[in-house]
Amino acid sequence: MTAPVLLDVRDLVVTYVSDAGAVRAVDGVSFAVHAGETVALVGESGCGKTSVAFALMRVMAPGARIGAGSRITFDGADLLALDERAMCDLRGRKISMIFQEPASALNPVMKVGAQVAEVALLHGERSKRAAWDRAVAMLDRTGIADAARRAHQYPHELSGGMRQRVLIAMALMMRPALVIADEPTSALDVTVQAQILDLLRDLQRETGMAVLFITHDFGVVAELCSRAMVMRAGRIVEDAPVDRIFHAPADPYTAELLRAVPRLTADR
Amino acid sequence: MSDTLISVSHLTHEFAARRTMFGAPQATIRAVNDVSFDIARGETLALVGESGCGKTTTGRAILRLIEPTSGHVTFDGIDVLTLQREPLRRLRRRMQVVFQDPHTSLDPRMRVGRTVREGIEAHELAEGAEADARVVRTLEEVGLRASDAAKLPHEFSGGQRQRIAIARALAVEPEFVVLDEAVSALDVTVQAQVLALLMQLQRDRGLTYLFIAHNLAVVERIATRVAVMYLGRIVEIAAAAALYSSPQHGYTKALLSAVPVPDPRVKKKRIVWDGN
Repeated sequence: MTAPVLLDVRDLVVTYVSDAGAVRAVDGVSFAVHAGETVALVGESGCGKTSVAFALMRVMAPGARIGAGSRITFDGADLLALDERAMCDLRGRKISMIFQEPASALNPVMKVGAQVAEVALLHGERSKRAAWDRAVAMLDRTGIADAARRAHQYPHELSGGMRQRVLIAMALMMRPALVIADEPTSALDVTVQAQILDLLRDLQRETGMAVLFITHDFGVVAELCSRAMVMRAGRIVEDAPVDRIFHAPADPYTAELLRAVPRLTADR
Repeated sequence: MSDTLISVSHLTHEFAARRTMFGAPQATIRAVNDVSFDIARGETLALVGESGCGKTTTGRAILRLIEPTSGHVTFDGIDVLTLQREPLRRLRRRMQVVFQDPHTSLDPRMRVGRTVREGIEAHELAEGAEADARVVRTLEEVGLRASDAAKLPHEFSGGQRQRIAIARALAVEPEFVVLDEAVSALDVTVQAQVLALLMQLQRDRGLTYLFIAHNLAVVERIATRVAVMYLGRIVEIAAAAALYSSPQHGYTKALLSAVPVPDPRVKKKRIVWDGN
């Protein structure tokens, strides 16, 4: 891989503390993401993949702690050493996240155009008019038909697929170097999912951004990613180019997961 | 046909709605629009389609969990939609349902044993020690243990909770089960196990299934016949093998082409359906 390392994670540990005791959701995870790469973080529910994503963005739930020995380096900077103000500047601008449930990730009482424009306003755009125009352009770029009119609508007036496009527009507004996509198509119908994956692929080619794709769906991994990391019980058990993962998995858990994936006979 | 268990004819269900987003007043939405099909004893008819197509509403109408606007449903020759009170109550024992979400379909404050037992008692199938024995047998049949009867739902994983939901449905010895996205919310390895369990139970008990789902690859494993729904209508219905190998309708082709292939070496050509 000749592209430079954009994100470097070493020995990441995330512990959730509760009355019932402490649980290591992420148990010493190390990996790198190169500029322009599309990497999947695959695993079943409870494996810790979303905890990894939240740790990278430093949006931890109350009771969650990042272990003292953890190292996260992004674009040369020590992410864990940044204060909240510096992190706020980074979030949305250099690293952004696309969430799983568009219905709950969007503000229900704010026009979608305003939510997308807000990203620009938070990151240096002074003119509300200009922010709005940029938001409409971004909504249009994500394939929302009649974007100028739709921008004035509220989330409940849009379909699931359109809401996800709004989330993507928000995530991409500032052309971040890294996008963390947390199951962005799980809540969508299969035909809509196909369109969103095509969109993400196009945008990735156009902007050269790196994508960390968190998912449990191997079909999506095969369609979009060049590399995959398989997680189980807080650890990465395999990290390899997709062709190897699918055709010559080294770890028995990876093989087990692949065997369980339902696939159309016509596609075999 | 004596081996037809369920017969649905011209089923229609309308929901009252206020107005479209363009402001034009619209009185009703036809969630189910003139749907007809039969299900033979012992077969699995899959009802597939994307969200909003009407498949769940169809399933509920057949079970009479909702009262459809018009149409007919017969179960073993009995007119389901005109039954009242006691005969309806008795009929309900013969048709059961397993819902999608294992986290909300079980009463969180009821111990598993009591949940499974409730139907047995309501339909007076057994009582006391005999009812207990039935509960244990059913739990073991779905891969759980007798000791699980004393536990609460939150002590189980999603897959185990779905097994409890299946046990609850089977405890009353139904002939027909509606599986409404019953494996959709499960992790892929768990999904494979629960699907295998459902197929085993069908063989052991001679059950008839209506399998409502949106995942075509999962459906291919379990279905005898497949009905594809779009905007309240059935656009195609065929034997599973025929539907998957040579789909006729444009929407069916689009759906099949949209299923991502878990193999990076395969590049699938996406078929877009324009609604015609």
